[in-house]
Amino acid sequence: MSAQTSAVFSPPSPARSVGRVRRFSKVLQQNRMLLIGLAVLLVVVVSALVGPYFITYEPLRTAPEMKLLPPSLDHPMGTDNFGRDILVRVLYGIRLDLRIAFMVAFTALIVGTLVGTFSGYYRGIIDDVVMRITDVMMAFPSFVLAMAITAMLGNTIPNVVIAIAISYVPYFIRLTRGEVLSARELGYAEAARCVGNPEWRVMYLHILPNCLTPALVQATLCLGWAILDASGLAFLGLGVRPPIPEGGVLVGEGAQFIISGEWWISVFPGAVIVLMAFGFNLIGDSLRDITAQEER
Amino acid sequence: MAARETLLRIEGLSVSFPSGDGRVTILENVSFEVFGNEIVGLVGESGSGKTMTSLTVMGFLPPSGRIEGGEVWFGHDNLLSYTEEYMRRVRGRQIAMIFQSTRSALNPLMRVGDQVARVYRVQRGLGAREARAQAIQALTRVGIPDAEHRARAYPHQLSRGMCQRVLIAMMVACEPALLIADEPTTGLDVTIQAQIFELIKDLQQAANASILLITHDLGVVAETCDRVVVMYAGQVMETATVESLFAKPIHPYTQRLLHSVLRVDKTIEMPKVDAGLSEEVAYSVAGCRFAPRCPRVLPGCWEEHPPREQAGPDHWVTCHNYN
Amino acid sequence: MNTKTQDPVLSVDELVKVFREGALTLRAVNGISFDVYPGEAMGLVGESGCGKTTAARSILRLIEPTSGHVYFVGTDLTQLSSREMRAQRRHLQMVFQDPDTTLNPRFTIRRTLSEPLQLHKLVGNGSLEERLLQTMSRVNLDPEFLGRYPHQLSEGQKQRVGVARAIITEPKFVALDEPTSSLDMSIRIHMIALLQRLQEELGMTYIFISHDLSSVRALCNRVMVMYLGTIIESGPTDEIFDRPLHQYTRALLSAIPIPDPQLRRQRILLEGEPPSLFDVPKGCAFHERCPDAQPGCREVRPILRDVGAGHLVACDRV
Repeated sequence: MSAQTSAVFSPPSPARSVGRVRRFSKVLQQNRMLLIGLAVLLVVVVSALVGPYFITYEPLRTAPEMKLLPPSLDHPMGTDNFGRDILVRVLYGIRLDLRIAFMVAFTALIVGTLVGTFSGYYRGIIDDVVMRITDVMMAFPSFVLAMAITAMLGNTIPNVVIAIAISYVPYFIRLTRGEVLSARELGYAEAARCVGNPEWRVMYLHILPNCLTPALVQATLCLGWAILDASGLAFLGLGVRPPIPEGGVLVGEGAQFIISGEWWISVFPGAVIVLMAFGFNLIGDSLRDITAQEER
Repeated sequence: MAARETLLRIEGLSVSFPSGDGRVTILENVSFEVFGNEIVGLVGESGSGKTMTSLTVMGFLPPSGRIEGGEVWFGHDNLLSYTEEYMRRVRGRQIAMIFQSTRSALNPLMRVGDQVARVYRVQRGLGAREARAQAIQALTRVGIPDAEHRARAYPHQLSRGMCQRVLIAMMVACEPALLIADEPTTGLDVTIQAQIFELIKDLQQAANASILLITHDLGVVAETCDRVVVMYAGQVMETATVESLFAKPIHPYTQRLLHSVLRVDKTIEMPKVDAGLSEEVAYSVAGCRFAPRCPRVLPGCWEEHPPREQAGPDHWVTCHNYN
Repeated sequence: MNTKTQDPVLSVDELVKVFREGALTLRAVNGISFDVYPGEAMGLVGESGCGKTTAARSILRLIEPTSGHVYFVGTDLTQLSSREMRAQRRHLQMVFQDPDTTLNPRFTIRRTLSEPLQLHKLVGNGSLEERLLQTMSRVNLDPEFLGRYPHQLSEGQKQRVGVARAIITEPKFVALDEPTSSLDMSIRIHMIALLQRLQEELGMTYIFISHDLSSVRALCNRVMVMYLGTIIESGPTDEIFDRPLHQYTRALLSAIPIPDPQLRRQRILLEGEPPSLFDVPKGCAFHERCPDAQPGCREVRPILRDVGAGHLVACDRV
């Protein structure tokens, strides 16, 4: 029995904890974009994970006698000029692109939110310096920045991840800093200090968790952008290098054959890149809509 | 007692809102009157339905709300049957309302003087210059010093007390027969609050209008109001003159309310710790909603709606216990 | 409760807090001094802008005082390092005004309440649950609320969680910042009763900051009245409320409506509004609005003088 000296009642709360699964399916029902995005990605991811087990061809083995074959039952996406099956290379490419995308988003998210929180909480000179640095970084289109960094560091996969992540970090810093600026004024930050929390705990355990939502939404969108950036870099020769199967690499390999008619070498990988970016964008956009609605 | 003119008569008003899978009756069978030239206090805890009642009278019920029954008589007409267009003519001119959050009630982009003048132009059809002059007069009348100068200020440049006075000036311009004031001094300092209530009383007397004052402060009721309506969980529990209510509260809820009010002029006895109960239960009771917490509850209280009995010349109580 | 026979729990000495915004100086707290003795409930009252909230935060060093000293059981808080200050916080707690923003919306009640215990290493793993249950029952909250989030609680319940958080470390001193102001009039008495009972049970000393003088009267044994950053009157509660001497105190008290229609009261209505803290007048801070002001009031700032029975007033006309 609870002794409640509260007011008679607050307007009756909606039906309590409907159960996470039910709520999730309700969210899906109301947000077609989310549903489509998730569906697209599911198809892509599952085929990338499972596909290679059903295909006997190897992504790197050349077979000159099979070169430049158009799409057929044997080779649903045809073969390239080295006789390699394009479908299996596309599937491995998806795996790599996804790995790169997640590493980029994760890194940018972590670095950006930590720095942004620190900057927004302490303000002062540190904040000014951080803001000026992000200003400079954001003055460049992120792709150009990534290009410059890979050119400097060299084109290995880790460097590609670093380069793209660096070009995204300023956005995360800004986003998080903005949220922290308003959150730090709220009572619970002061209450946290009053109770005996050292500043770092107030920042990272109290304030930051409440400011993560926009950053997480942004991270989802970044997954899509990262795939496009990574592919772009690879296409230009600044990113992942052939013969490693990756979306941009594959498109690049097929570029010279479009005119001569062997369209399938570029088009299929290109379509898959677009599909992945599209899927992530849909998810990210609908998440943004959903979280904006909840705040209201 | 001379027959008084009835300005507003609410009869059996019931309003429901969606909740979970069904609907909840936020207001249940609410009935009371406001006569001419008086100040009626509508008292209750937050959530008791006072604001919802006034919103319904004004026709501001949110779209998800549904009127389940009852009438709101203003003069010879039932306001509930009015179209929105008709209500717009009633609002401001006949019935006006002041809300709680002053700053958001004023247009932040318009100078306060212009806002008051606009009321004169729209409601009274005055020309621009005439309206401006009247506006400055109105601002002076509500106690804003240096009104000519202050009229050029924007709301954010004024203190909240000043903003509230500006709103009152706009009401003065409307000259409504009935003014509904919903917690008009929330967030204002005590000394400013006293000034505002004195102002409201002066204006009411000068205009011969009536005020429906919504509040949870019994001190304000005692000092400002002529009659009181006590609400709990969307039901009216007791209605009486202020003297009668404070001298002889009949409903167990009213009694409890009056016993637990803190006073500045004496130290009062602390109650034993209150064993209340889950809030939502009140809504699901079919009869009297105070039954779960009533010290004199009878079995019938849970099922049946208590009758409205007359306990004195101007004292009504809705309780099974009243023989 | 003994007052003068023991050493004070809290002793504030000429506390000043000044905010600078560019060229403007805001004197929020303009040199206040007072003592609070063990077991007391000291009220600190005034209207918005008087500096009482800033004073409380400065005393607890939630904001840094500009100058002055705060002695807590003999230790000068203003001289402590951050780590030392954090250690002191176990005994120096605060109940905040608005429970909506002062509870972390992402923390369950359990987490909010456990944190102080964990920070100050007050419980081993076994006794944490026990301590939580004990505290919940002290504030009359059903233990099932431990697993809930703030948005699932009502206003009054959230306020009691705030109280629970403050008392869970069994502090010696608790500052209460407008604990009743966001509550309905009908439930304020229950909060006061709760606070009273807790004070007795746990032997705490309170400073009760509020503009709700009825609550202050019900709970506090001594009261201080602040206006524009200074204490203008202080003394035993009944003495101040029944025989106020300062014109501001008298106006303040007369402005508060009393739930009794039989009392015909003479209300002292003050003119205008208080000057801003950017522009504190020279001399007596109140002279511009004082019905009793004399030319001298404009020049000399009055100091608090004892006029008998522990009643202190800062007014040269008394």
